[in-house]
Amino acid sequence: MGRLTHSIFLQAPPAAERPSAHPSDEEIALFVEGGLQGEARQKVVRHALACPDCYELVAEVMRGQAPETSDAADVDWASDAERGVSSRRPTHRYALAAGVLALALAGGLLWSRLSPNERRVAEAPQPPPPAITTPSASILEPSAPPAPAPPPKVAERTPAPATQPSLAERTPAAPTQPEQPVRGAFVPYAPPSIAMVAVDDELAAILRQAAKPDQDQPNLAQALAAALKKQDVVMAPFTRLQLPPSMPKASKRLTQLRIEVKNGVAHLEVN
Amino acid sequence: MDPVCLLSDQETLRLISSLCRKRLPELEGECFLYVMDALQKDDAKRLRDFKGQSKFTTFLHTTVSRLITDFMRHTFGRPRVPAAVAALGAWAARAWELLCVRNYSLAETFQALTIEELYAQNWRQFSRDAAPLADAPCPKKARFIAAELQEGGFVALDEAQASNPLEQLVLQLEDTQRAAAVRVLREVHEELDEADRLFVRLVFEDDLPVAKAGRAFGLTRAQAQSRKNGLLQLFRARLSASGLCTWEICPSKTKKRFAWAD
Repeated sequence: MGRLTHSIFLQAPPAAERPSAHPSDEEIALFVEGGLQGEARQKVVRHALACPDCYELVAEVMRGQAPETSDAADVDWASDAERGVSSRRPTHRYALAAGVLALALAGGLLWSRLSPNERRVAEAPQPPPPAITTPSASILEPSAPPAPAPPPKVAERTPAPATQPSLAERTPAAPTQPEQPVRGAFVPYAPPSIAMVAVDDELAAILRQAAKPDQDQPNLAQALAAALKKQDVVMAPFTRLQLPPSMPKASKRLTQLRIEVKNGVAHLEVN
Repeated sequence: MDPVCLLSDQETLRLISSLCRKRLPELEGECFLYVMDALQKDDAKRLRDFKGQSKFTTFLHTTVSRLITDFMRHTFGRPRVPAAVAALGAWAARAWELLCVRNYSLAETFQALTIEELYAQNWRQFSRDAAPLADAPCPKKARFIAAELQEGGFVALDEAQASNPLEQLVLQLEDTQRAAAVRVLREVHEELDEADRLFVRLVFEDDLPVAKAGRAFGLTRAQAQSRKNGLLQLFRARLSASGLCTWEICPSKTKKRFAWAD
């Protein structure tokens, strides 16, 4: 019970404003269920604000109500902008979406870093695992005479000539491309991506240090990349790091770090 | 269905019994009989007034809750501040009401009187000043002030814990700032429209679940949560603007964005 809040907001209304007629039981029940609209609801609200007994009754009935099951409702409150009240959508949906994107991004990064040969190997059907043969004979059974050595396999009997190239060697080599300078934290191989990672104390310290002026930016960038790599986030080296002059207070052990890549430029967002 | 039949329904009897037990555990039987008598009075007029616009359970809950309040008044009488307490001043009358009617602890009473600007002394002095209240009669007294004064001592001040973010805001401030902060919060509350004011009281004063409070105003769970967060942010912003809230107490929600590029 918010007892101090009661002291904060409880004010006796002027006698002139005290409404005389209490709402009926059914009106209060309808209000609690969300069944009142417009002026009828406003009347009950106004009365409950002015009448402590009816306020207590509304709170009591509301407390005993079953949990909400329906999400369908119409909102006729004044808009948020009119009253200067900010309205935010629930962030857990964004966090979930960001997590899924991060997983997809990590998979894509891993895939993009594989060489063409490694990709081919990954795509090829895998041979069945060799059958595990267990000795059937018990130690109590008389030992069988040693079996003759099996004939060598054909492959072993006819060794390949040393000059014959292996399959991998026979595959024409992929044309080597000159390394492109990386502009962002992530290689921008995909449309704008968002990744969300948990930042540990080490990274938070690096970010705080980076916020100080006159820091060695390339070294900080490397340290940041190394710290993120430790958290399974693959970071390509980047050349310059711009950080805001004031960093958020890293009092929490974990900080949400958001990385957004747009047009080859990576944006960091720390909540 | 005939209201008299509804009264003999097991669900109805269970609801009445549970509501009486919840509010008056010591007088559950008397409460139950009083409510049943009142419901059957005048050929069950109270139940016949039900028009079917709301759920019958909610209607019955409302009616029974109202009748239980009537029973409490009938049994204990309306709480009136004793003359001896009223003679001590406005702070004593309010302290008696909080202690005896609203069942506050002594520490909670002290905090409330401080933020209501009815009492300006410290806790030690309050413990002495409140001693005469121990002799005053209390209608439904669950705790004895005298015992609390002796046993609770000065440690009891820690009992006044914040039960929601709004109280946390106030209790985190220095003692000297709390009264000013409460004035600011009251101003903001007064500026809100009536629906928001009631919503704030239901959520922060009675600690009702946001979804339940929001449903009365036609809000979904997410909308109600968003409304609560927005209102809390508004309170924080006004406290910050008035110079009462530091960054640690009222952290800004604005996101800091930075970028690196070639």
